[in-house]
Amino acid sequence: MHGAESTSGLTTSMFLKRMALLLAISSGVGLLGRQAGLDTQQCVATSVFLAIILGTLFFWTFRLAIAFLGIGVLILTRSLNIPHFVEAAALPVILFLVGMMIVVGALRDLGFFTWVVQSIISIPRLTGRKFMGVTAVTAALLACAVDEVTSIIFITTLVFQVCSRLKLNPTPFLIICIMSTNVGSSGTMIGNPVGIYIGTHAGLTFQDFIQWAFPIMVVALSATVVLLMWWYRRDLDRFDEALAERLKRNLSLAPKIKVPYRQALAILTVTLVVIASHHHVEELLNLDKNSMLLVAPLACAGMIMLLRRDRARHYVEHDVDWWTLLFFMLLFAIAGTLEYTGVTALTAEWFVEAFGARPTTLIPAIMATTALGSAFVDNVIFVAAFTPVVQELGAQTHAMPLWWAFLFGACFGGNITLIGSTANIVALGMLEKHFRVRIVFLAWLKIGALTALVACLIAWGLLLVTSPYMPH
Amino acid sequence: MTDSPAVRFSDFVHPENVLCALKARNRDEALTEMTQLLHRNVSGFDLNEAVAGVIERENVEPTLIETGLALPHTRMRGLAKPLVAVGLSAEGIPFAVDEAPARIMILVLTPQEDPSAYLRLVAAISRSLGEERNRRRLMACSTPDEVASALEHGTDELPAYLSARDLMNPKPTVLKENDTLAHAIHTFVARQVSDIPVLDDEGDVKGVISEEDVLRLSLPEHLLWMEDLSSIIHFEPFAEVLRKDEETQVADIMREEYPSIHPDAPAIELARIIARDDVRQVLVMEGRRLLGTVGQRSFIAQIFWA
Repeated sequence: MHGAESTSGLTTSMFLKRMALLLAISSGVGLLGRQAGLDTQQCVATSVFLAIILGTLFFWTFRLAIAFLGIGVLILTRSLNIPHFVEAAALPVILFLVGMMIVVGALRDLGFFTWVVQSIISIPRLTGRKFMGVTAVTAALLACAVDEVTSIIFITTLVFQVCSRLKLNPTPFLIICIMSTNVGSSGTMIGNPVGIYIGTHAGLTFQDFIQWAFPIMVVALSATVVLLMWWYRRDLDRFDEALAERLKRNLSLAPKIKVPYRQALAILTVTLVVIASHHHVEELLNLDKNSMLLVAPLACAGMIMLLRRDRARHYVEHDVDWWTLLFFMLLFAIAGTLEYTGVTALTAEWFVEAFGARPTTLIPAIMATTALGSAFVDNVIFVAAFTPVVQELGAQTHAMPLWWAFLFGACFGGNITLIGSTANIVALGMLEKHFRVRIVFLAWLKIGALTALVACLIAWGLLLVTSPYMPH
Repeated sequence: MTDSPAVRFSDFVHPENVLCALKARNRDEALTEMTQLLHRNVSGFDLNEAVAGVIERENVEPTLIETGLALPHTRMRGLAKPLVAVGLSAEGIPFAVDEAPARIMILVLTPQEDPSAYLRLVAAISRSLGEERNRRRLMACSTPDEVASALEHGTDELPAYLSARDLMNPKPTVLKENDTLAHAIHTFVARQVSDIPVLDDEGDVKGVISEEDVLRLSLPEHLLWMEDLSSIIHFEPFAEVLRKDEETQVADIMREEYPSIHPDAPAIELARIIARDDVRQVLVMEGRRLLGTVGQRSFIAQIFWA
């Protein structure tokens, strides 16, 4: 994961104005909460959490600074104590992500992503539509296998490279890939940081994801890709023409070479197999639930670092995005305060009052709330805050369908706006840097909202069909 | 040099600093003779240092700007304003290999700390003496007063500031859109250039091709993700590019975004583009028409050294 910083050009006066707005809104909401009957600590927790949300919207570059200050406020106002901070910081999730980032670094070094790109551009009798279809599905599956941000970084490079060769504007093709990546990231536990967070808090296993989430993701992905390729059909016509013209002149999209990929593929396979078999191993060795899952990437990373000793330090220092992980840790802790102070229990009560305690109404309610929340707020923030609410709701009814509704809402909702997921922000940052293209918010919203709606409707329908078969 | 736009080149030419018939027979003698004349009439600089400076610059880059017209120059510490000496030679004095001998030599000494003095003088001189008839009229003069008078009537005002046009190379190396990659590679090597403007059949600018574009074509970014490059140790991707260097056209590789500037824009704008955008070459354009180019190295040489 590598954050594309988009607010680095902030002037001092803009910074001060936004900071004043942030403080005014967050403390105003805190005071309103007091009027509505929340106690002091609940008000502080709500205010700080809102400040974090606004902080990521106003100061994407400085979101970690806002999180540091937020933790300070929570500790000083006794809204959070150190033991709860450590517990809520979800260290196992953070270490899981560290391990995966190291594995991804090794995969890149060993040519795995190069091989993927070479394989796509070497497809025989390539056409624009074939290229985009394969690339979009690859982006989604890569997100499943590693994570969405890693996937979109490599896929974006491929799209840029091909569009540069064909003298095409990469924007529509990049949007197809980004949206496919967001949908694909819901397919496994490791596709998205929210997947591993939900999985560990809900007690779901990797197999649960493969059995219940992956098939729904595949159907939603198919619909998303078809819809996007129809939406951008004229751009794909131009792509087809430009590619056909180039191929007719006997020119390829890139030099074709043989990439040694077997070692990298073996590492990825072993890592995925170890992660996938965590439940059996835990049962066999009588380990705590998901304990094997969380250490599996670390163990694989440890092996890689031993085998590639000369690069071990590089992987840890450069391939692990410590900035983002620190932010996640503090964010989880701050969101944990909402649970600790009882804010989330109140929210759950309100949810039950509004929608009842039945999966048939709670599934669309949770999915829609999460999708809309994730559209405007980093989905990790939303999921961290909303997880205790879903836990409360799950205690009153069949929990598993609610978790899947939550997962799909968070992942698919990332497509609604261009700030909806980290993958969007990273890829659009690359687009702006390389092509100086800025996508208009509303232009994205039209297709983004449509894509998210279609994917969510499919997930809702399939969850209604499959939920009776899910274990309690 | 004063910033007043009304300053003319002739304001710097005094009859006592004019030699209508140089005695010198070669370039170094001519430069020495003119510098000595200036030194006799105007104190405040070291003669030997000035002569050595003028000769050294002429060795690095001859200053013949038009047929028979040379503008030798150096920068001197301690000078308050530019000093100009004019020397004429009916027989001509060889200044550069394969070039016609210089008949009109205008020696310019400028203050070390004034980056634009010499270039503004050159701009004014070349606008006037760039025309053959003005050079002929000057050569017909037989006394210093006649020379000063001819220059007074014939020379332009110094530009108020240096513009992009004053610094550009008006005859840059260019390529056509449908030139082959093989031709482009040959041009990079033969002309020792790193960035080449690409024109269409009408002469409008379509893009720029750089050495890096050729390298990136051979070694796209996704190949650089690999730590171990043993699979391409024999430059396999380059081989494929070379196999198709006749089918590949410059238009396939060129970048369509490039830094450009209007010819009348102040040259300081060029400095900003080069420094801020970290570019090696700026195209001087009027509409889509290419008038010239300014390279980073040439810019540095002209502003800090010329």
